Amino acid sequence: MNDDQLMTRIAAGEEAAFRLLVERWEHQVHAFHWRMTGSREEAEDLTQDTFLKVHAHAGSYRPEGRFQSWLFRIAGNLARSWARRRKIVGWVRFDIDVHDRAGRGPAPDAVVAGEQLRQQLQRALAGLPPRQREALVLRRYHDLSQRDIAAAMGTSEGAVESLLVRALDTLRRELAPEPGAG
Amino acid sequence: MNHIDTRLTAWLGGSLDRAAREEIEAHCATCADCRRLLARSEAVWSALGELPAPAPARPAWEGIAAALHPVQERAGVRDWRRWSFPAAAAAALVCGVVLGDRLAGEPTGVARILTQDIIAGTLLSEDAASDLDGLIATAWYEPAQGETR
Ligand SMILES: [Zn+2]
Repeated sequence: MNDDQLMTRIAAGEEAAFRLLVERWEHQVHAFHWRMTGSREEAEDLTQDTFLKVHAHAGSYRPEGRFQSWLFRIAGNLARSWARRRKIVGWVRFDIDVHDRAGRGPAPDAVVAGEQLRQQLQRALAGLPPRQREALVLRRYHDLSQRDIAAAMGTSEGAVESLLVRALDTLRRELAPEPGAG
Repeated sequence: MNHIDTRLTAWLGGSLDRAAREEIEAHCATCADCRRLLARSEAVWSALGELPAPAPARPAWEGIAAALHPVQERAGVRDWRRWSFPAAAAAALVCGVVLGDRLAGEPTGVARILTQDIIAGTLLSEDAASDLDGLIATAWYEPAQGETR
């Protein structure tokens, strides 16, 4: 059953259909919120909120085959109001507990290099302004087209392009500096 | 000669058609600046793939199911609509106070909806729930003092 069919059933009150939809999308939604907030705990709360909104607004969903951008529109709105609540503009504290080896003795070089890269990436991503980060995350990790990102973020395709260009420009300077620069 | 910067994100995202890709390749064969820009951009794009998100600690459905059926699980009351009027009015008062407190500065809308709805015996009809949802989404309270993150 595709997402539109599930949504029609959810709107009709079928809880089993809702559960299927949640199980189908929870990892993507959680990953999105983790990359936006940097916190697993916040990501779990926001994931739950996202699906509760999907449920509450199932009746207003139009089954036109664009469920993913509708879903990420809800997720993005929640992530943005989270950032406003925290009064965080472009600052995210990434939980790196899974990768944090402090106090556990020396690690093999390859692992250290991998962890350094991850931490560098996390810092770079966290340093982007929220809308640039959102556009980049949707493009890079969720494979949304520019058109779907524009729909999800309530903006134009041109604006999305500009957000992506600026995000990429910053990341290039931080992660792949030109020889001789900085 | 067209530099590649305006088509860079499309290139990285793999959304260019074959003709556009070939045009970029041809340009990069002759333009060292664009060749470097493309190489650095591809390095960044591929490095971003090295940042896997952690899996959620527990299935989302657990929390969602609990949120969908809060009454049965939290209060042990089978059906709110069977509440007597005095009990409903008392609940409304409590909700109003609690929400008014939580939503310091924004209490009227949410508290009013809840109070009216509970007194009317329809506790959080679909419409009220959705109004509440909207109000909370757009006018959330600030973190209380001492709440740290
Ligand atoms: Zn060029």
